[in-house]
Amino acid sequence: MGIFTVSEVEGSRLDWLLSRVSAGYVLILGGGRSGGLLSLLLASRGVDSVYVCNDGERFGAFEALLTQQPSDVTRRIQLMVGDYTNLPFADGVFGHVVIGDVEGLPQPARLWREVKRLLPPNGEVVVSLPLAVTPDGAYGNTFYLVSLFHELLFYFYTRTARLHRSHDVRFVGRNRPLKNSHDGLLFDVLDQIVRQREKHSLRELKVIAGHVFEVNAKLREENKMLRQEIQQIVEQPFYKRMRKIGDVPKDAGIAEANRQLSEQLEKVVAGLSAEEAVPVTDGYDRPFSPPDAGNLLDDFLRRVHAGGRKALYLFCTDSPFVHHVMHDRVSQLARHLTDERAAVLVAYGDETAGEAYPLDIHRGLLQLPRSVLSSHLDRLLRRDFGSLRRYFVVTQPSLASARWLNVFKAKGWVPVYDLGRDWVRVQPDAFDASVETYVIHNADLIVTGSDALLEKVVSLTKTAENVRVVPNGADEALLESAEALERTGGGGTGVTVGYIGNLSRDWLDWDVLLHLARAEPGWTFELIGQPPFPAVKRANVKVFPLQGDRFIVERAANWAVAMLPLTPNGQGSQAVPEQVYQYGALGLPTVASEMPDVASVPHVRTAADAAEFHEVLRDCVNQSVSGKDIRGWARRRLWANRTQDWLRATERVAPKSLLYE
Amino acid sequence: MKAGDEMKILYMYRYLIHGGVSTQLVNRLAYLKSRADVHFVFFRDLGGRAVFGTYPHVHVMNRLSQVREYIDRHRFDVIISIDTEEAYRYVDGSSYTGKLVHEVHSTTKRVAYLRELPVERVAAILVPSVYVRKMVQDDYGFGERVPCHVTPNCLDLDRFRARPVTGETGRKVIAWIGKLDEHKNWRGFLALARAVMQRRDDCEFWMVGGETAKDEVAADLLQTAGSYGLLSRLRWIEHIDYDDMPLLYSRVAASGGLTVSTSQNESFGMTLVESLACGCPAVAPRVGAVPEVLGDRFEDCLYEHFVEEEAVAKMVRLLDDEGLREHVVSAGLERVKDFSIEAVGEAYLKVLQPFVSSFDKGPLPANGRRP
Repeated sequence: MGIFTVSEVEGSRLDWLLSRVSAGYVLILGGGRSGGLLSLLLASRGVDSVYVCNDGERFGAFEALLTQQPSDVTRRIQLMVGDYTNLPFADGVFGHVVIGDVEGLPQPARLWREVKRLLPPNGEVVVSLPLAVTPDGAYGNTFYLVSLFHELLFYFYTRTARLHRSHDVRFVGRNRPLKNSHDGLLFDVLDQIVRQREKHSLRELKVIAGHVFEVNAKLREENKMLRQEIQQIVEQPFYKRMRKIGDVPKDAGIAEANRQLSEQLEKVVAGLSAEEAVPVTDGYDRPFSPPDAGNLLDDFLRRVHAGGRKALYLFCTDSPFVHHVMHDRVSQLARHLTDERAAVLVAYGDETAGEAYPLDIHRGLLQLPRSVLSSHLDRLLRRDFGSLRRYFVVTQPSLASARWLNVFKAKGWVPVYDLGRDWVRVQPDAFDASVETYVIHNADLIVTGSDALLEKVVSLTKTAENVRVVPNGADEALLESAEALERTGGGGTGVTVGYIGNLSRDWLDWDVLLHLARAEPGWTFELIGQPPFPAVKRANVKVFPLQGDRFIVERAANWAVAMLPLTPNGQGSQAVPEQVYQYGALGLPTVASEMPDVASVPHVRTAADAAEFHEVLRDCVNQSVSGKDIRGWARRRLWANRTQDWLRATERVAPKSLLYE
Repeated sequence: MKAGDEMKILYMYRYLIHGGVSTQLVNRLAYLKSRADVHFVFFRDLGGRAVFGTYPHVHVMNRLSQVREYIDRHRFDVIISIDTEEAYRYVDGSSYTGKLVHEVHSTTKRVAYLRELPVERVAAILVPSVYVRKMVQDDYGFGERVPCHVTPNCLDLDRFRARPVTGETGRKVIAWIGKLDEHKNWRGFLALARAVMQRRDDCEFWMVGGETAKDEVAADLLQTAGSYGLLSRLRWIEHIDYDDMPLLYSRVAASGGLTVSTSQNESFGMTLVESLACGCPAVAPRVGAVPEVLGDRFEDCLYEHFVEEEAVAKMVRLLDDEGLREHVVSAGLERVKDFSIEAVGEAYLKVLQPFVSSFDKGPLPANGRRP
């Protein structure tokens, strides 16, 4: 495991955490170095964990330490950069959630809500926060800490809460209904924190020249307010009743009070009145609207002009570019187009606008939420681009795309419909056939992902004149990473079967998956995907959030077979799905649901139902298949080449503005 | 206002929109800006700022104190509310003690607010057509209680003229311009388009406008078009720059097509005038002020509202009869001169003069200019 040194305080904290968390699947949020060390210690004891930081730079030193660890330790640890309040895991998937230093979180309620969601009933949240004292007047920390704990009241049953040696706040809470559960323990700790903080500060402040009096006075004033706040909480009728309920004999009055209390608490827990319950809020829920979006766009367009880009593509899509880790068609095209010296602007769906995705990806690629771009549309439409070719690319037949299509065409942009899959069949609730028909008739070029999709277009337009076929492809970087890492999967026992992709019930056939998991209890089924995450109750089914190629390659190295069990909707793609190429790049034999386009792919076998899926899967597990051959198939179908075909198809279309020549 | 002073005018309107009243204000501004100091206060921005270009005195504000402070600071000679009854509440409490001039452009059911208008605060009512004057005086009971003047809408004829268009669309374009609401009756247009499609195969249908329509309406539009079998011939441009409108009309005219209105009512019928100014024939229902604005040489372009057969027959004749097209285009170019910025602007300013507030605005600053 290697050698690392810890301070007495850190050692004490780690000892305590290990005594509280010893089994199950563990989520560690924040905590800096201690969080990383905890994940290592847990891994060495055979416990899987996910260690999340909201700032990737914090992983730096720990990642170096991780590289020195043996693979049986490192494979139990996932590192992830994420938003603590919105994590891509299924409900109730972790047995323990460990909270370290999560400073900088303006709205604690959101953290606790998310932690509660991730824990099963009786799962435990374990909190260890340093009560650090900074002598620079950052007394706001105290307020933050008190708020953080104050919020716990609404979400977890307190098992233990204490201030350890005046420097470490330790709390263990259990995820269970809150009725009759509260005692004064937490408030005692809060009060201790305040006093302790004051004492520390006074001691520290002695060594500071200058503003001691002023800072000290502010600190006292703030602590006075905090004490008052705690007192107010303790005096609230519902709090008093909670303390009494356990002791008082049942009578009508108490029963009614109890009922009202339960209702009130349920409401709080459900988050309905969470905003009222949050003492420190800072407009955190306001819609995402980067204040400098206009400048970002202007800068990007200036770069497009100055950088000698040969064309500008505006992709109107639902997914942000960050989903490139999914190897989805739009992201692959966007990325490879920039390699071809085209510029790409991605306008992504507003349902994801609340999330802070990176915007200015690099010089040639900017993405903005559709609603944000919408308010700056004039900058785009009125700009004089000279002879630069501009393409408005519809990637899904959404109403938003249909609404913008001719607005852009009127300004000389070429409307292109990239029909990568049969969206209307795959997601009939989201996409309307009349909108797609409109888009097909109004686009100057339609690029389809398969011949079947081309036929669909021709059945509407009666001509294939403006239609080109560019199938999906494989990613070269993924393929090379996979080649560099020897695959170890296969064999009759200890088999791992993998899946990468959308985990929603609309897409992934969970019935087939659970049938397989029940039929083969000795096998492990690893799923890597994007939300929404259905709760997984089976021990041999593991869900991992979507991560970068490195993680995928490392996981897949242990897979014997990849699978693609899709619902009838999912089977309606009418093109070879991106995953088939992804599995190909990973050199994995694949079992998929029956889809006409997939049947011709050499490394894929198909199955009609769960029983057949199981049978074919067993066959594949027992057969020795050359990963090299499979990767060879993928190498002949790289996205880089596909993109060149796609680019050539668009370049052949002469712009025909509705108004201008 | 002393002789030689520049008249200081404040327009107040609820929405800063793209098109509609904003367009009319911009056209009017072209005449007024060299003759008066014109300011605009809108209560809500719906994306129309660009219409005013770089003109500085365009503000969106809706706090009472903010608007009153603006009025106090600028000491306007006349304040004009455009279909915005809440303007009175904003003016109350400011230092402006004069009456307001009230413009009525709406003919929708929203115009019912007129019944609640504080008549004692209204110096005059300005309307764009005789039709609206009659409506205000008779239907809303103003009678002769308040002076009511007809000041037509105006159009920048230097900008709205036939533009040279090269290239072919291949089909005759039948264009409809308006918001996607019941009043403009977009469904009526789709019904006409279906009827034309049933008779001939050489047309396509452009719908221009609707950017503020909700998604449900947009989806309804495409689904209705789908059920009518129109999706292969429909182009919906939900937003087009006002500067590009002359090009649009010219393109439609060059295709051998026309514009058509299906409105339930019109206080003026601005898009018809725009269309004619660009040499593009227009077909419209005999509603509201449309017959009055077009005059008596356009009988071949008017149809009884809701009489689809008549509308389609007139459209088809205008599509096919070159002689008739030429007659309509030439009559249109003649008629629109009456609505030039200069012609209308001069008359408009004359109408305003008597209502310039006589309240005491206090002495002018030492430099003789008001802030």
